[in-house]
Amino acid sequence: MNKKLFDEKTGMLLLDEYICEMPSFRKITEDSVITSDEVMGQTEKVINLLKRLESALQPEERELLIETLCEIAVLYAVSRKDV
Amino acid sequence: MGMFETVKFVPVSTRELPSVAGESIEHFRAKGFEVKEENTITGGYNISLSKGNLFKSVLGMKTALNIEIDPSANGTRIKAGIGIFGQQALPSIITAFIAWPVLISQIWGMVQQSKLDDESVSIIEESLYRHASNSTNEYNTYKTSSAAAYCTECGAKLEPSMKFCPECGSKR
Repeated sequence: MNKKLFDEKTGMLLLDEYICEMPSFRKITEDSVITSDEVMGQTEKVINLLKRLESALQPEERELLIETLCEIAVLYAVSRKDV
Repeated sequence: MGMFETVKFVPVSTRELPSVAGESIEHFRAKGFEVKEENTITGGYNISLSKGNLFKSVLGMKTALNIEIDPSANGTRIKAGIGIFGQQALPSIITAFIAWPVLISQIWGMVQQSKLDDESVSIIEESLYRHASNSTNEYNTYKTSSAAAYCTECGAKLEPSMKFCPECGSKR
């Protein structure tokens, strides 16, 4: 319950390690086949999580979340060529 | 040249490339690195270096410093960049991972901090000069002259004042 975003010793981002532990990730990758139903199901899960998060956050925290998600999307888009 | 890689063109060709690769492999194994090598279809080598405390696993896959030694008619290109241990190309599941840009910059930062990229390029460059066709003259020239620069894309020689390659236009 006390997960952190960054490793306290190395400072490395830990998101990928949490993803490997998730049943949704394991289910989708176990057979290397991704169906449209799986994509739809995962999309709905993400939408529901974002709605839960939005209602659980104070206005300032909500702003910070939105800013963070947008900047992640920008970084991902601009770095596609090099990575 | 990409952001998270070091590239150097060495104006030396050698038939002793297996020895060059072998020497660099032994160098890093002696330092405790896990090393894997693969021949390429162009007669070069891909060498993967990994060590637990330096290279984090991403989505369950061990990352590494992947070094390409790519021979051509007028020299040898050395490229060192972040990859997955033992794999020439990054798997799409990695490049599609939204946080990969953050992770690759962090891993590359640690590689540069430890100067592993420079070390790997230097080791191979020195070995290339030792095994060059005209080995004595080339090696002595390399050791005594000020560093001559060559375009990392096409291998053309660059004068110190040049900011762009006169042959292919690549930025220095």
